[in-house]
Amino acid sequence: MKLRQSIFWFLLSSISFSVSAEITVENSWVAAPPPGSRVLAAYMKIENKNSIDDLLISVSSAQFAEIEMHNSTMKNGMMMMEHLSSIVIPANGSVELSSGGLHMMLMEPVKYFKAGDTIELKLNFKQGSVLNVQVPVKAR
Amino acid sequence: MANGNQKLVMLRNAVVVVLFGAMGFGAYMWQSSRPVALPKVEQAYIIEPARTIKWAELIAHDETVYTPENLLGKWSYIYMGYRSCPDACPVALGVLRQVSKQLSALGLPDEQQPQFLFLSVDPRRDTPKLLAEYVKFFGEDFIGVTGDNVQLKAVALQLGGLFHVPEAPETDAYEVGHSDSIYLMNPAGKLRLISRPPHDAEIIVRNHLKLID
Repeated sequence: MKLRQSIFWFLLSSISFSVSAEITVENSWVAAPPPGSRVLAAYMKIENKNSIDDLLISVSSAQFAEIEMHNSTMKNGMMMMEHLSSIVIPANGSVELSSGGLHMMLMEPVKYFKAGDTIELKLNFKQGSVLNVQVPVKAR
Repeated sequence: MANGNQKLVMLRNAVVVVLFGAMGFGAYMWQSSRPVALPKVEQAYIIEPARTIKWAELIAHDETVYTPENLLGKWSYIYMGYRSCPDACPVALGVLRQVSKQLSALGLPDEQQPQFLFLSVDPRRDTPKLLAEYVKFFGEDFIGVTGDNVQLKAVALQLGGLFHVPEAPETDAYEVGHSDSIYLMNPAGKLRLISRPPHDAEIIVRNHLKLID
């Protein structure tokens, strides 16, 4: 009985593993914004365990009017925001969204978020994966 | 005979000129080759001699006039940015907040504790009132400063920085480009150090301690 149960759970966990293992997100966080700020930045590591490249094509959330993918880049000695229509997640590789580089810009929040809050993001990928991610708001 | 005398005088004059010239040149070489004991700073460069920065008037977050005299007597860190900046500005100001905490923890005398200026280059959106709310988040020793475009351009130019704000944006959601350096003014109100990104609180603190020494 016990053995059968554990075999069942083992099989179930391996199935769910193989399904969710294709695209994963870890170390996600949103920086707690200064008061009055209408823009927040989300950072995370996105991993693609598939053998083909994938693209993050859009990000949405009920808590924000709009979300864009950006890259902070130095251009002519100035920090500029480069809009990206997608972010490539290489096959069997990963992409790091971090301070001073790639990030998601979350605009027009429904409320003032502070450290300890949670933000729900929906990530849509070209190959069909949709990831719902619970992202903690943390102080920088 | 007179001709010979004239020649002698000319020769003497020439010798005098060459001698004085050589002395002047020697003095110049000696002066300029004297080792200037500049502290070794990291991820930054020292402005030697420190450079005076001038402007007529800017406005602080408490709506008072902010002139170069406001920089006197204290070390001041300046970061140029804008309030609706999602990434670079809060990162840099967050680093400066850590610098503030680390320096306070060292218990330096008041005149060696810096103040921190957030110079908003986006006065269209960043009113003093909004800046007040914004900078307070980073600390009581943070001052929001802005002004008209001409003044801001002049300050940026003298600091060696750049920024770009669209002249007639279609919506209020426009972007601003700006330098990501941190400028340190000495208590004489002169530019002394420029720190390059990526910014790191520990490095800035180490540089600070070397410069106030």
